[in-house]
Amino acid sequence: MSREEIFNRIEVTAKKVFGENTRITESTTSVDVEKWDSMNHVLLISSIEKEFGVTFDIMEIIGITCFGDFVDLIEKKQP
Amino acid sequence: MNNTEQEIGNNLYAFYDQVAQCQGIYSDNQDQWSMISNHPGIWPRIIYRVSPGIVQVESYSALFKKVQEGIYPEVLIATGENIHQTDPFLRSKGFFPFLGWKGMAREYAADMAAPELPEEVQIVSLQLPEDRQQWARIVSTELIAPTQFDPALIESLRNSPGVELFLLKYKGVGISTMLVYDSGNSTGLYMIATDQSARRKGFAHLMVQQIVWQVTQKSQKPIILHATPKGEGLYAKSGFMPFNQFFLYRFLNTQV
Repeated sequence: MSREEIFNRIEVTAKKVFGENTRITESTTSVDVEKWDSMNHVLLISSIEKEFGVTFDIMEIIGITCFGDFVDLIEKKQP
Repeated sequence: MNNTEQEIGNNLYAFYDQVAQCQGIYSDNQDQWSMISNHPGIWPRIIYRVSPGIVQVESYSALFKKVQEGIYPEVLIATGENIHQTDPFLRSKGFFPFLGWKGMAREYAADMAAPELPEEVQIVSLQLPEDRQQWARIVSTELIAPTQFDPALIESLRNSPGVELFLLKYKGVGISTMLVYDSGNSTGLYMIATDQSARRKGFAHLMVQQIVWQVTQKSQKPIILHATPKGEGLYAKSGFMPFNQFFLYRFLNTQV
């Protein structure tokens, strides 16, 4: 999967969590998204794990600050 | 666990207890965990602290009871390798990690030179209402996910024993914040935040250097703080060493 394909799937997942009108880029952080609170942060992580069939290690999770970090992690976990 | 490592946790828990007192809410200490109750989404959140390696359901009975009551607490764990036992257990109960930080400390150094502050920079204790508003606004943007910060709590904290709040101003405008808490055994630095428009310009570093120097003039106790991944480098530059790791878990109450 290309980086762009990964991001597109993450974007679809993010819209299910934050709402269809949510606009994100790889550099979008929690400060940029109104509904990105701790509850939705956990929901987002869980949703992305299910979307890609991966499990993020706890140290990987705490290092996530923007959507680009999710893309990096998924890229690393690709076979 | 050495004394400094223990103190990194103890200062944080004492600070949470102080916050609970300011709020007039009940902080329940039971053996290895405590609870600070408040409204979800508003700082401080409901926090349980758990000792590492605990995987018995009985140890979490009060925590799970809260979940059944519709209150969604966050679980705080200070640990090292034992997280690999605790993590799968918490996930099996619906709790997921969402935040982590390093416990860091700086031992007393007698020979620390007074840092220089540029002319346009002042570091002030919060006195004026407008300073308190700026402080709350800056801190709330830095906390993990935007969070409301009750101005009445700031006022109450400002008047609490052991607590001092600072605002760094550049050309008269509030830029960076810090809260200092003296627990009696150590001094903790919290709420270190910088206005979004002024980040990565060295203001937080100036603030940390100045406050660390001020603290060392008054006390030989260790100075501790809790660093998010993006803050670690800044604090390392100021002489702080990492000692332990903290994790915060949130209950996921919605099935996707």
